[in-house]
Amino acid sequence: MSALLVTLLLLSQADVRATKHNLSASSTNLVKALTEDQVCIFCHVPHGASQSRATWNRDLGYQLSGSLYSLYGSSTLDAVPDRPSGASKLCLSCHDGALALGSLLNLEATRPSSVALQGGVTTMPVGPTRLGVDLRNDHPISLQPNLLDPEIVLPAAGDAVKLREGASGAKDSLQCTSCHDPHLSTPKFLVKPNTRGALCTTCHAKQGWLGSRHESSNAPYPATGATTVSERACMACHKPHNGEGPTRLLTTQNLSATALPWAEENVCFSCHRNGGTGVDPGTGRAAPDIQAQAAKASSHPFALKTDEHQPVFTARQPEPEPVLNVVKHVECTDCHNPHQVRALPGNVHEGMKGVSLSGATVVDDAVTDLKQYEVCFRCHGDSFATFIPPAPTRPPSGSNKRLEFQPGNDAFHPVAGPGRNSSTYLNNVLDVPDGQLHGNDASGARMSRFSTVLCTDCHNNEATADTQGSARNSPSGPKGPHGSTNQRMLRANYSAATGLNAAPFGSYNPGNFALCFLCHDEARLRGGRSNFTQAGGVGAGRGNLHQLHLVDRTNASCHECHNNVHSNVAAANTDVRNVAPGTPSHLVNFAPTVQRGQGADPWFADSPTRPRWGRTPGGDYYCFAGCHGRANAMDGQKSVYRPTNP
Amino acid sequence: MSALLVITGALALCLTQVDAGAAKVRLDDSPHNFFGVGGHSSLADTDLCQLCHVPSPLVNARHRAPRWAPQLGSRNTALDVRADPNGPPLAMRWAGSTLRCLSCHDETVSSIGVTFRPASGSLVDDAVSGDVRRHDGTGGPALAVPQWWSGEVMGNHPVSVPYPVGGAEYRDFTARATTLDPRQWVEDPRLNGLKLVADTSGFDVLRGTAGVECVSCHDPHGTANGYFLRLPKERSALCLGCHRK
Repeated sequence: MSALLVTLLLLSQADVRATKHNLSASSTNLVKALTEDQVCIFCHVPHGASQSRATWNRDLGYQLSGSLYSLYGSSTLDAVPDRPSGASKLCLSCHDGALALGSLLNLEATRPSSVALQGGVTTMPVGPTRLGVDLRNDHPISLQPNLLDPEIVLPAAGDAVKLREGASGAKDSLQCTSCHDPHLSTPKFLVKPNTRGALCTTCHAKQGWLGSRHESSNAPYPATGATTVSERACMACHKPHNGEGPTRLLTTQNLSATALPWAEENVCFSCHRNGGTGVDPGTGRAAPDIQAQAAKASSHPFALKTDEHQPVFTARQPEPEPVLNVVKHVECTDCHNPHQVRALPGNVHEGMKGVSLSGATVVDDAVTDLKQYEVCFRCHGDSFATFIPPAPTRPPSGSNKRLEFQPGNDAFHPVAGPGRNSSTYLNNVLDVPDGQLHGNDASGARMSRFSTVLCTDCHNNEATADTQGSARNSPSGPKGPHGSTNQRMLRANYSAATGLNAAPFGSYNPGNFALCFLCHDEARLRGGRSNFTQAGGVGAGRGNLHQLHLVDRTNASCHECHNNVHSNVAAANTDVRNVAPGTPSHLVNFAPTVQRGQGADPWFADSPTRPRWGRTPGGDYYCFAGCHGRANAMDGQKSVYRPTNP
Repeated sequence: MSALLVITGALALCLTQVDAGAAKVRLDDSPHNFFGVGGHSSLADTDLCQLCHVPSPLVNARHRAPRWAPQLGSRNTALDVRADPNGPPLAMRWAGSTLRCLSCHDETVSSIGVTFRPASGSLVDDAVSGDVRRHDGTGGPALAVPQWWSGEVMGNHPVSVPYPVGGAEYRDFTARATTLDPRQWVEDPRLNGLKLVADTSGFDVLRGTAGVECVSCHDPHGTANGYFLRLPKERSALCLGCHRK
């Protein structure tokens, strides 16, 4: 009777005997004993064990050295991993590779004992299951969860994931056995499936994860595989053991091709590359190929640093690195929170933190969406000099964009609020058919003087230049300031050359200012009137001084008179005269190559040291610059212009 | 007289039908034949059973107190079970037939003391000299009393603990008791040939007739398996008779 039952037991092998942990000679595993036929004996023995609970049959004395294991650490870890304790010690006695698999405390009456394995195997063969004694790239164990972190929760009662006995003997610790049951014939011995991150999210309650792009994408990953990004969930980016990026256990394992070398950006590039994922049937798109963007002539330098970045989107404060960045680096996660990110037209900065116009830290949460420029200000604001040292060759980028975009400034591109130029000529609303703007803004409304623009309406993938107005309206992508074939990561070409009357300015070429013309109608700037006019003026443009400067006479560039197109704040080479502070100043600021006017200013009888722009005593706008007064240029008197419809 | 017949019959049963699954094994063939494995002494009083059993109504085995007995002061810690060697001790209480086993199988025993030997006519202890090792068929130290054994209980499978028969909810034997997961236990190991005994340990056993003692796995009267095991250890059939792992 009992023999029959034993036979039945052996036939129903959905237990430890069906697992890799069956080291008995009768198993079908590659790693198994030569002759020893017991199963449990490799871990347990009923008498003479190293402890009573679970009666361990391994001599764990070698683990007593406090320095044997290197423990996991992370700037975002609140809990404190301790030396392996509890059942983890038994697991490690094989998985650290230090002790032979067949090294037992007792076998029959022999102590200590050694069981010979087939193929001459002694310690655990090198491979993913051999964790080694360096546990820095493994999920921390033997630690008590720290609930001060709002994104850490304890497993619910009855959950397959459980806290296990720790060093004190209390069941208060995360151990190997919290996630793995060494007896289960489940994949990786997991206590429950990790599809859609079900195992990880038992304890890791990532805010905003549900509904995020990475949580909900049905794009196949790997591209030719049966699973999807959403099914892989946490495991698409994290690897609980042997993470290529030890801190935060990130993986660059590229499931569609060869694994990428360790670098933060390569975690993202595992999917965000050409062919990284398949096409999501829900959106008709695969993961945007950001890797190709990063390889373009001008890009955010993702590869500049490795292991410098610390995430700021932690729920607990203070953040491990300041939101206002002070160490030069740029990683994908400096702008995106991968646990919360939404795809455009959703909020790609969901769950991020940034710096507001006032310089305060702002958080994107369920109530408030972060403004795009607030993310940019993390590096391009008050600490810009750390990142982009001012240089004569590129003054516009070497400036504090937070100060430049203040809505109270004289002039700025309308990033943080509508612009100061109230000229109806700037409109192209229906009642002003000859307005100067065209295209729609990011919200889809027609571009007008009341519009605001995004940083990414100018700094974007050049593919988005296929559409007037905001880059958000382009059918092309991937969007965003990741990289561009144009300098300054500009969406379209913009020549910043000045002081030349030669190529590229030997003759007028609208391609030199393609960026501007995405919003500013070139036809209005040229043929018709602009708000830079001179009644009865000279040249073919006859009154349109934009036409005159750009085409007819000097082949000047936009950049010579609107040197910093972000704002006038850092207009070091401009002497603004007779214009009250706060008065709209039309973004006039001169390039360093523009010289001061020769002799005395005919309106104010002084000799400014910089090229001057302002109003005459009578209120007319005028320029007094080196351009005027030299050969082939107007004298100072003629520099007055009178906008007909200011 | 009739009582004597009953006792004799019971002893005969002991010798011949110690286990349904190992009927051919006799007590006198086992190492528990302290008069010599497989041999029969010519002495008139070679009653193999009396070393553990005495007839009613005499006190049934006034056992030697195991050295682990809690009243023995400084050895108290030896009585403790620890979940972890570094952890706090957990109180154990010894009860039932396990006391009988431990009366020999602690590290203190080198001779067999019996309470009652009919030939002596005395009720006092009457030592039968002998080293337990002499009963080990291999000539080496017996596993049950290993030479390395410090006398501490730690390191042994728990005994005097309840068993969750049929998934019965009970708290395990630790002070921090939590409900065991019934999925990890065979519903009724008795069907596999193992034995559960009435638990008298005082622990929280809802179905109080289902305790694990030494005799749950071992049949001291001899089995076809080594170490008096009720099931073969090959392929860990014995362990898996209770543990659904």
